[in-house]
Amino acid sequence: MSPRKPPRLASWLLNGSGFARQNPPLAGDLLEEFGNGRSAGWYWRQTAVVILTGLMRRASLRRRLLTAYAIGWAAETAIAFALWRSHVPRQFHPSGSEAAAVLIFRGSVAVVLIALAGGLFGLVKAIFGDIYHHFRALPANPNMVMIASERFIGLLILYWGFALFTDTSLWNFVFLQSAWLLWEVGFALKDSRGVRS
Amino acid sequence: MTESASRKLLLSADFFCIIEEMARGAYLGEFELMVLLALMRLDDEAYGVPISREIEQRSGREVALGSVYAALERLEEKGLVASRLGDPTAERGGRAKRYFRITESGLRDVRQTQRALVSLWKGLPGLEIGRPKGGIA
Repeated sequence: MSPRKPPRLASWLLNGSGFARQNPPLAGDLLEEFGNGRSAGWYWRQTAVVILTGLMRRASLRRRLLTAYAIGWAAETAIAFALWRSHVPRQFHPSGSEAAAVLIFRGSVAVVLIALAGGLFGLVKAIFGDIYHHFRALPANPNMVMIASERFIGLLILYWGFALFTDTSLWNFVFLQSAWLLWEVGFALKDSRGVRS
Repeated sequence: MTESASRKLLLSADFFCIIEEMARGAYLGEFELMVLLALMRLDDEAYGVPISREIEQRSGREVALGSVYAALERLEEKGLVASRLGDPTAERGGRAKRYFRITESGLRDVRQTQRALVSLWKGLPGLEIGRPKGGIA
C-alpha cells in the first residue's frame, strides 16, 4: 500500500518556501504524522504555522533592517507628499533642505498619516520581499527584479503627480527610468547566472 | 536603620534580583515550560511528533509542530536543551528525526520556575494543588 500523500499545494508551499528546507526534521515530522492518519485540514494548519513562525523568527532576527526600511519609506513618502501638496518646487529639484522646510513649516496631520502609511507599506514590502526571495521555485535572485519594477511603478506614479503641477516632462522620466530598469534587470540576470554556476 | 527602612531596602534588593533574573531569562514561558516537561517525560524518545502529542494529551488542545520547533530552537539557543540527529526513514520522506534532551541548566531553570509558581500558588483560596475546584473546606 502506498503512503498517503499530503495536499499538493500545502506541500508545494512548505517545500518551496525555505522554512522546510531549513528544518528537514520538521518536514519529516509533518509527513510522519500525516501518514499516521491526520487530516488534510491538520496538514494545512501546520503548514500555515510553520510559515508564519518562520517569518516571525526571520523578522525578529532582522528587526533593525526592517525598522530602517520602515523609517526610510516613511521619510520618503512624507517628503514626497509634502512637496506634492505644497506644489513646491515648481520645477522638480529634489533638495533635502527644501523638502525639510516644507515638512517643518507646512506639516500637517495628513503628512504624518501618509508617513505612517508609507512606513507600514515599507515594512510589509520588506517582509513580502523576504518571502518572495525565499521561494525556490522563483528566479535565483528575484529581489533585484522586484525592487526594480516596484521602484519604477512607484516613482512613475509619484512623478505623474508632480508632473500634474509642474511643467517637467513625463517622457523624460519614463526614458530615464526605463534605462535604469534595464540596467537593474541586466545586473540581476548576471548575478543569478553567477549564483547558479 | 529602622525596621521599615531595612524592609524597604530588602524589597528593593529583591526587585533588582527579579529584574536581573528576568534579563537573564531565568523564568520560562508557559509553552517553553510545557515543552521542557514533555522532554523530561519522554526521555530518549523526544522528537517533534511525541513531544507535540504529549503536550496535546496533557493540555487537551492541538499543538502546532512549527510552534514546538520554534520553542525548541529558542531553548537550544539559551542552552537549555541539546539535540542530535537520528537516521532518515522512508515514511518521513527520507528525513531524519531530531532528538532533544534537557540540559543541566534547563533542569535548573525548570526547578526555579516551579519554585516561583508554587510559591505564588500557595495560600490562594480554591487554587491549592490537590483540592477540588472551589473547595474551601
